[in-house]
This record gives sequence, structure tokens and C-alpha cells, in this order.
Amino acid sequence: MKSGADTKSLTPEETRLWHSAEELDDQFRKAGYLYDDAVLQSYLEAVMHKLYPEYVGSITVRIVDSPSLNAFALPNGSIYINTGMLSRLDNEAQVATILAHEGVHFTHKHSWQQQRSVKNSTAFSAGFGIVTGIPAVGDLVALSSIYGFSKDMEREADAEGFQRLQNAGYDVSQAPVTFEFLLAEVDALDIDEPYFFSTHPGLEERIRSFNELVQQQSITNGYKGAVAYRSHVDKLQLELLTDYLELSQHQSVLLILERPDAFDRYPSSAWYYLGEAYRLRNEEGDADRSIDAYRTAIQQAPGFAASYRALGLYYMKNNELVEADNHFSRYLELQPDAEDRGYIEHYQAGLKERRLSQ
Amino acid sequence: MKVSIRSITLLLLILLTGCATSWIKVDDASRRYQADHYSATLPTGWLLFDSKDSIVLSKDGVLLQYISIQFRLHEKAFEKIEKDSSSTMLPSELAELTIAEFKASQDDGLPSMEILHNAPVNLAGHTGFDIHLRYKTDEGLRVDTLLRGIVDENGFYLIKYSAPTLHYFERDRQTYNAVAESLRL
Repeated sequence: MKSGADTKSLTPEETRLWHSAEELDDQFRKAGYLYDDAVLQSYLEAVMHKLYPEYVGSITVRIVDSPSLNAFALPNGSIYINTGMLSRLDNEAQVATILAHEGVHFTHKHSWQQQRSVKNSTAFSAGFGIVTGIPAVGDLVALSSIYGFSKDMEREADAEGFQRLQNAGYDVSQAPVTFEFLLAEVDALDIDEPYFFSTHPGLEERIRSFNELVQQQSITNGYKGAVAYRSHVDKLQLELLTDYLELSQHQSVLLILERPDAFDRYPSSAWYYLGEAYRLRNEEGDADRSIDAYRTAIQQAPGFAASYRALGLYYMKNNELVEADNHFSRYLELQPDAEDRGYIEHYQAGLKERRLSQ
Repeated sequence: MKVSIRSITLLLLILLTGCATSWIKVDDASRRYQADHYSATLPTGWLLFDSKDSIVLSKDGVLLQYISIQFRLHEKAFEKIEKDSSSTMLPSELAELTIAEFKASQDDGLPSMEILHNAPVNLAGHTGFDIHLRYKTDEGLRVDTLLRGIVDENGFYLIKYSAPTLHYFERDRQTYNAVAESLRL
């Protein structure tokens, strides 16, 4: 049982669901779906405590190691937020918007209410893995906020969450911004699955609703918390770029790094990731774009090893043997324990043979 | 074992779309296997699921261990991530796409996956990749997977071995090595 949680007032059915949710928590942990960063987790918990001071000990924030954009609540007070979502947000007020919304689903027992209306939980769980980044986990899926609740419940979560945001002193003007970037991503990636409990029309409606709420406020200069937030997600942001590239999801990297303010938010080494995204997309002009990006990475972040490797591969393919060898050597100097050292040494041996045969 | 079961189901579905037969036991007479694009020596006593250019082998059942050999045309090499292979692809590039395809074939993108080894290897006279992965299923079972792959002008060849880390993986690893080393194009 979660520390501090009061389950005495629950009905037997609610208690059963509570325990199912706890089993799901265990399953996520055992299967390695949680992102292990105690500092980030305690920071998010602190944000949640600001929003829900009377629920300290009853709500737990957990981070899912998944690049998809999502957050959801379980009926036992576990609020899950994906690393993909965290990496996209700009400031604490934005993450507070999401946590405040999800918290309402728990405090207002939306899962219990949903249970009565869900007729076909199998249909709900069918695409769970696609949306959450976690394999399907049975009928509890239908009772979490993953697919959204009824329109009335979502409106309630928006309105109550907005109130929580304001009471905690956050800059409420960040609430619609949070959903605007989600909408941009849904549009750019042509996503048709439910994405953070809404498809395109739902997100547009939510942005309108938040803008109306913001306009009703006389004070909108609350706490934004950009510096504090970024200091907690810097590492995660770069890890996510690596994840996207490993999954060949170059569109997501381009969406993030082609933003005009991208390099205010990301270190100079992110130029390398931009270069890799162009290389993987491989459309007309992308080869030149990727080379330019690698070169910029080397100029601006000369100690970042991977850029030398990328340029070395480019030179090797273009028969610029000396340049290729020099870049590979620099790569291995900077990263002597490189995981792909075997490949690089193999390529260097091939370059040597080619130079001798010329 | 949802992750493993899903992978295996997908694998079998792919095979069943071809000229699938039932499982047969490999004996001395059927040991040398000849497909359209490759040949290999199979372990006697193992069960073979034969779909011509793609086969699956298992001794105790696919949930406990399996070895597969797959041939894929370049334009169908990495369907999940919508990428092609080519005969000029570098082994590290091929490895990169193979790992991306492997991760993309799981619902969750396998956040628990570790790459224990990733290096060039000579396979059937071609330089390819040799990868060792470890990951946890959604029930927390640790699974090890070995992947070796090469390309030629015809397409992409992938030899895979997967088994639970405890007990099974090391036990049949040498059998996988022997099958991989016997591959001829």
C-alpha cells in the first residue's frame, strides 16, 4: 500500500482496482520501463507537492523511459510521465500543467467513474503499447487516463488543474503553450493515434479552452521556472535525441532541432544529432546539410567525439582517405572506450591498405 | 514473456506467408540446408521450421531458444523503420539499422536493452556485424540475443540467436556459432 494513502474509505471494487494499479506499478518497475533518475523524480514530486499539498504521500510521480509524448494517471495515485514528454517541455510551469491535469484524474476518481462507462476494455488496450511505449497490460489500461476520459472529465481536469496551477503560483500563460507544441508535433509527424489523451481536434479545443481561462485571469506573471527545469532535464534531452536516432525516428529530432530556439535549449553538440537526422532522412540536399551540421558541431563543440566519427565516415565514402583517417583517429583519441571501436579500427585498416595501393 | 512471444509470433507470421511447412527434425540427411540465396549446416536433433530463404531452429521450443536465418531483399530489409539496405552499406551502418529495427519491432522500444558487443565480423567471406544484446521482457525475464548480418548484391542476411540469459543462452551459444560459421552465399 502506498505510504500515506487512505484506502479505508474505498469500496471493495475500488480497492480491487487500487491493488491492480499497484501490480501494474510493480510490472513497470520489474520490466525496466522506469527512467532511473532520483534527482529528476524528486524534482517532479516537489512540483506535484506544490500543486497538491494536501496529497503529499498519496500521489507518486514516476518517469517512463519512452520517447513517445505521453503522461497518464493510475487510480492509485501513480502519475506517469514519459521522458519524451519531459524532454519537449521548456519550463516548470509547463510540466506543472501536465501534472496538475493528471492529478485531477486521481483526486476526482475519474478511473472509478470511467469503469462504469467502459464497455470494451480490450478495444482500449489494443493500441496501448503504441501510445504509451509500454506493452498492453489488460483492462486497467481502460481505467487510466491514457486514452482520455469523457469530455466532461477532461474539461474538469483542465479547469481544476488550471486552478491548481494558479494557486501554486505558476505562470498560467504556459498552459496553452504546453498543448501548442504537442499539436505542432501531431501535425508534423502526421500522428493519428491518441497522443497525450487527445487527437488533433481535441488538442485544438484544449488550447482554446486554456486560452479562455488565461484571458479570464488578471495576473499572469507567475513562476515559469525555465532555468530550474532545464537544469534537471539537460541530460535527458540529449539521451532522447540518441533514442530517437537509434529508433530511426529522425523526424522527431528534426522537429526538435529545427526549432528557431533549439540551440538556446540544447548544447552545441546537438548539431551532431541534427546532422545524423539529415543523414537518416536522406532526402535531396540532406547529405550537404548533414556535413554542414557535423562541421558546425566540431567548430562549436570540438571535444565532442561523435562528430569526428560521422565526418570520418563521410570522407571515407568520398575517397578522402587522409581526412577520413585523421577524423577517425581524433574520434578514438576523444573516446578511447568507444563502443564501435572495432568498426573504426577495421575502417582505418582498410584506409591504410587503400593508401598503400594508390 | 510478452516481448519475446511477440517477436517470435511476428517471425513465424513472416515465415508463414512464404512456403511454410511444419516443424521437422534435422537429421544427418537434412543437415546441410540449401536455400535459394544461401546454404548452412544445421544442428542435428533440432527442430526446423522451413520457409525457404528464412528458417527457424529450436531444440526445446522457441520460448527457450531459437536460431533463425533470414534473407531479405534490400528493399524489404528494415520494414519497421522503413529503410532499405544496399550492397555498399558499411557494416556499422548495417548494425545501426538492425538495432533500430529490433527496437522498433517491440511496443516499448526496449528501454532496458543493453548492447554488450557490437563489432565487425567476417561471415561467409563478407564483412558484417556481430551484435550481442540483452534486455528484459515485461515480466522481468532477462533475454540475450546475438545477431550477425551481411549484405551482398542480392540482399541482407541475418542470423539470430535468442534465449533466456539464465541457463539457456550459454548452453546453445556454440551451436549458433557453428551455424553462423557454416553459412555460405
